Amino acid sequence: MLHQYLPVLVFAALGILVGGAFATLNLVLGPKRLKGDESSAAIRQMDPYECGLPSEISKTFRFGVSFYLVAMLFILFDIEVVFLYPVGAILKSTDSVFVLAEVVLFVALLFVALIYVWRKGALDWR
Amino acid sequence: MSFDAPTIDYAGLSPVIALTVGLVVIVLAAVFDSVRRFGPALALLTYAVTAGCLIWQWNANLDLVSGSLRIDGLAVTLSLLAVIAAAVAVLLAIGDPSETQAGRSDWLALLTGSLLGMVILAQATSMLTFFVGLELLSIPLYALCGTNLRRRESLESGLKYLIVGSVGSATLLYGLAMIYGASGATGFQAISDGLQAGDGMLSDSLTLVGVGMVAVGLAFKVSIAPFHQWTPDVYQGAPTPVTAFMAVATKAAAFAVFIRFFLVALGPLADQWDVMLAALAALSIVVGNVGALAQTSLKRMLGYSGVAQAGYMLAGIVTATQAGVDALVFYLAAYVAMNVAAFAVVVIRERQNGFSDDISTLRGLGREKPLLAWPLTIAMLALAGLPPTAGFIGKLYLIEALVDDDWTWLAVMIAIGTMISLGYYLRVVATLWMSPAGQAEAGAEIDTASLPPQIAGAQADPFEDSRADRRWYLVAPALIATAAALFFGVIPQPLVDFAQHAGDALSVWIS
Amino acid sequence: MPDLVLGLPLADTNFVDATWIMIVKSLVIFIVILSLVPLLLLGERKLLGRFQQRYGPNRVGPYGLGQPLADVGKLLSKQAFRPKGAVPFLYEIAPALTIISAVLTLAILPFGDVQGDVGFYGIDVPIGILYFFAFSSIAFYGLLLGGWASGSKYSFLGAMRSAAQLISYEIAMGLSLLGVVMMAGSLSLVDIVKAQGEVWYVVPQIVGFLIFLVGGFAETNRPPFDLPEADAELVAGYGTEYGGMRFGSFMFAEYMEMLIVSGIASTMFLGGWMGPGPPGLDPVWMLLKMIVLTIFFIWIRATLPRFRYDQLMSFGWKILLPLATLNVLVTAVLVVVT
Repeated sequence: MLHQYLPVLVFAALGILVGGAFATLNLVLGPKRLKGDESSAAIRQMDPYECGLPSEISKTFRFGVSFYLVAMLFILFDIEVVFLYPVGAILKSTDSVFVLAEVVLFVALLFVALIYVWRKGALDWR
Repeated sequence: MSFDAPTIDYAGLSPVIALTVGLVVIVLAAVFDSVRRFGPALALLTYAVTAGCLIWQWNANLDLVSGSLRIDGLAVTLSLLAVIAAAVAVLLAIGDPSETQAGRSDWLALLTGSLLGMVILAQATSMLTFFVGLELLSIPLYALCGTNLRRRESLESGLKYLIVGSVGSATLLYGLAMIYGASGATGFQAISDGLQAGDGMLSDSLTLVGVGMVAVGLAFKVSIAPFHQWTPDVYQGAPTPVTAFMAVATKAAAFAVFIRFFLVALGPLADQWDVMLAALAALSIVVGNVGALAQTSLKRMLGYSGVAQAGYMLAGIVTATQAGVDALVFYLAAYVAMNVAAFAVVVIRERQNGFSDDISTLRGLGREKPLLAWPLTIAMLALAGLPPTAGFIGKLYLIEALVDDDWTWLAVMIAIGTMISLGYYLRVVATLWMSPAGQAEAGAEIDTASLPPQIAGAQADPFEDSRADRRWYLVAPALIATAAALFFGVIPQPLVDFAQHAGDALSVWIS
Repeated sequence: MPDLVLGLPLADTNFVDATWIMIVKSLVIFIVILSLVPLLLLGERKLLGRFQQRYGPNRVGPYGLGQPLADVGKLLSKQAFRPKGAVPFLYEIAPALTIISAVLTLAILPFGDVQGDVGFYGIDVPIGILYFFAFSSIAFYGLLLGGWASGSKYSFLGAMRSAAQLISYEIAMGLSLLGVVMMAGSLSLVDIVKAQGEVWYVVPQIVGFLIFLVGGFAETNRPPFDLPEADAELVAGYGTEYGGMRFGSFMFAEYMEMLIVSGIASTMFLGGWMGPGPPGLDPVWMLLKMIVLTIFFIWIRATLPRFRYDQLMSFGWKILLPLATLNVLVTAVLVVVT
C-alpha cells in the first residue's frame, strides 16, 4: 500500500526544486562581487554582523546547559505523546474501560515526572 | 468491534506493582519539603510490602504478561535477597554525605528504581524484559555512584561505571540480537525451541557469537574477569552504602537472569558454553584473589574479592544441574550476609575516620570496639570460607555440585582460590586484633582548636560522626548479618531449603 | 490480543487514485499554496498598515499589488555571499531545508473528500496527523542549522532560542490534537473531517483548539512568539547573516507554515472543507477557513507585544502542557463513558 504515498515524492521533488532554486539563484542572477575597492568594503561585507564594533568570529559556539535539560524533557514528554496517539485512535472503537485505565495510568505516571521536574526547578529558565 | 481486556494476574505482578507505587510515592516525597524527611521510612515500608508480596507468592509458578515475566522460586528467592540488600543500603545511608547531598528522597528514588529493575530482571523470561530490567537496574546505579558530589573519586566512579556499563549493555544487546536472528524468538523457552528446530542452528556461528556476547555483557555486570577492571575503582569511589548494595543486589539479580537465560533459553547449547563459562570462572577466581592481595583499601579489597566470589558462583552455572543452581543460590544468600556485615563496619569506621577506608584505620579495633571488630572478623572468615560460617557451607555445596558433574578441576580451582584468599582476609583479621592501637596517619591530625573559627569550621567534616558505632541503624545490620552468617553456618538447613526452592523452579529444564 | 489490535481499522484509507491524478493534484495543491504566499505577504503588510493607521505598500501597481513581485525581484538580484566563519554547505542548505519541510507538509492537507476518481488531498494515510508532526518538525533543523552555521552570535542566539521554543511547544501542540483524535477515533484527516458532520470539534475541544493555536503561533515563530528572530534584540536571529533569496526562503517557509497550521486547525477543529453549497465548493471553503485563520495570525501580530524568554518557556511547560494533558484525560474519560 505504499503506492498511496506517491504524492509525498512529488511534493519532496517540488520542495527540493524550490528550496534549491532559492538557495542558488542568487549565484546566477546576483552580482558576482562588490565593485570598487577590494581592500575595504568587499572584505568587510563578509564579516559577521555586529553593530559597528569589530566583529568577533567564532566557530565554536556551545549550547547552554539549560538547552540540554529542555531537550531531555522534550524527549520524555514527546514520547508520551507519540505513545498516546495509537491508543487514542483506537480508544473509541474499543470502548473499553481497561484501555481508558491504561491511558490514565500512563498519563498519571508522566504527570508525576512533570511535578518532579517542576518542583525541582528544571522548568524555570535560567 | 469488540475488545476484551486481557486477563492480568495482579497477584503474580504484586511485587513489581508494590515497588512501582512505592517509587512514585518516593519521587513525589522528594519534592515536597514537608514529607521529604520520611523518605527512608517510605522506602523501608515499600521494601517491606514488596518482601511481603514476594513471600505471599512463594509457591507461585506461572507466566505473567504474555510470558514476558515469570514468577517462580528462582525469581522470589533472588528478589528477596535484592530487597534485603536495598533495605540495608537505606539504613546504612542515613546521614551519609551522598544521601544528604543528593537530596534524601532523590537518592532513595534512584535506589528503589534500581531495585525495581532487579526484581524485573529476576523474573524476566523474554529478551525484552531482560534488557529493560537490566537497564532499569543499571542507569540509577550509575547516578548513585556519583552522588557523593564533593568527592572527586565518587564522580569518577560514576562516570567509569556509566561508560563500562554501557559497553557491557551494548555487547549484551548485540548478542541478544544475534540470538534472536538465529532462533526467531524473544521468549526464553521459544528461543530454546527455535534453536532446536532450526537446521544446524545449535552449532551455527551466529548463535555461538551471540552466546559469547551475551556472556560477555553479563560478565561485565557481575564483574567476572577479564571484564572486571571497573570493579575495584567503582567500589572504592562510590559511596559505601551504594557499594554494599551494588556488590550484593546486582549480583543476585544478574545471576538470576544468567541462570535463566543460559539454562532455559540456551539449555540445548549447554555443551558449547559450559567450557567457556568454566574458563571465565577459573580466570575470575585467580585474578580476583591475586588482585586482592596487594590492596590497602578495604573497599578495593572487597571489590577484588567480589570478582573472585563471582567466579565461585559462576561455577554453579557451569554444571547446568539443579544442584549447581542450589549451590549458587545458597552461596549468594550467604554472600549477602557476609558482605552486608563487612560493609556496615566499613561505613561506621568511615564516618569516624574522615572517610578513609584504609585497612590501617582498623588497627586495634579489636581491643577498643569489639562490637565492630567481631562482625568484620566473622565476615572475613566467612568470605574466606572457614567453618563454622555460611561461607564454608556454600563453598562445600559448590564443590560437591562440581565434583558430581565431573568438573573436578574447577573444584580444585575453588580450593586453590580459597587458599590464596586467606592471605588477604586474614590480614584484615590480624590488623583488627594483633596490631596495637595507633595513629594511622599522624600527619593528618590538625589541632583545630588553635585555628581561627572559619578555618576550623572548614576542617570539620559535617558528616563525620564519632558516635557512629552507637547508631542502631548502622550497627543493627552488621550484627544481624553476622548472626545470619554464623547461624546458617551451624544450622544450614533453612537456607538449603531456600536455595532448593530456587532450584526446583528450573526442574523442568535441568536435571 | 495482538491480532485484535492489529485488526483495528486505524483509518479507512483504501482509496488510491490513478498515478497521473496523484501527480497532477499534487502540482495543483502546490501551485495554489505557492501563489497564496506572496498574496499573504502583501495582505499582512496592508493589514498591519491599516492596524497602525498607515496605508501600507501602495506604490507598485494598483493598490500596491505588484509589491510582492518587486520584493522577489529585489531579493533575486542580490549578491550571493557567505560570511567569514560560516560553515560551508550547511549555511547554504539550511534555508532550503525549511522550504522542503513546509512543502512536504502540504501533502497532508485535505481540501475535500473523494469525488469521482479524485481525492481532494495530497495523501490520506493511516498515520495521518503524525505525518504533519514528522515533517513540520524538520523545519526546526533548518532554523537551527542556519543559525549555528552562520558563525555569528546573533544567529546563534536565535538558533538556540528557536530550538528550545520549538521543542517546548511541540509537546503541547501534539497533546492538543489528541483529544480530536480520540473523539474521531481515527488518525486520518479525511476521516476526522467527516466525523465533524454534526458538530465541529471546536465546540467540544475548545481547550484543544486554543492550545493548538498558541502552539501554532510558537511553531511558526509568529508574534508574540517571534523571539528567535526578535528584530529589536537579535536583528532577525537565525536569519541575520542571510541575504538575497536565502533570506527570502526563511520568510517564504514561515508564511507557508502559517498556512499549513491554519489548514490543520481548520481540518481538526473547524470542519475542514465542510460548508454550504455543492461538493465542488469544498476546496473553496477549506481555503477560506485557512485564510481567515491566517488573518487572525496577522491580527495577533498587530495586537500583542512579544513575550520575555523565561515567560515563554514557563508558559509552554507550566500552563500549556498540564492543560493539554488534562484535556486529553477528560476527553478520554468522556469518550469511553458516553
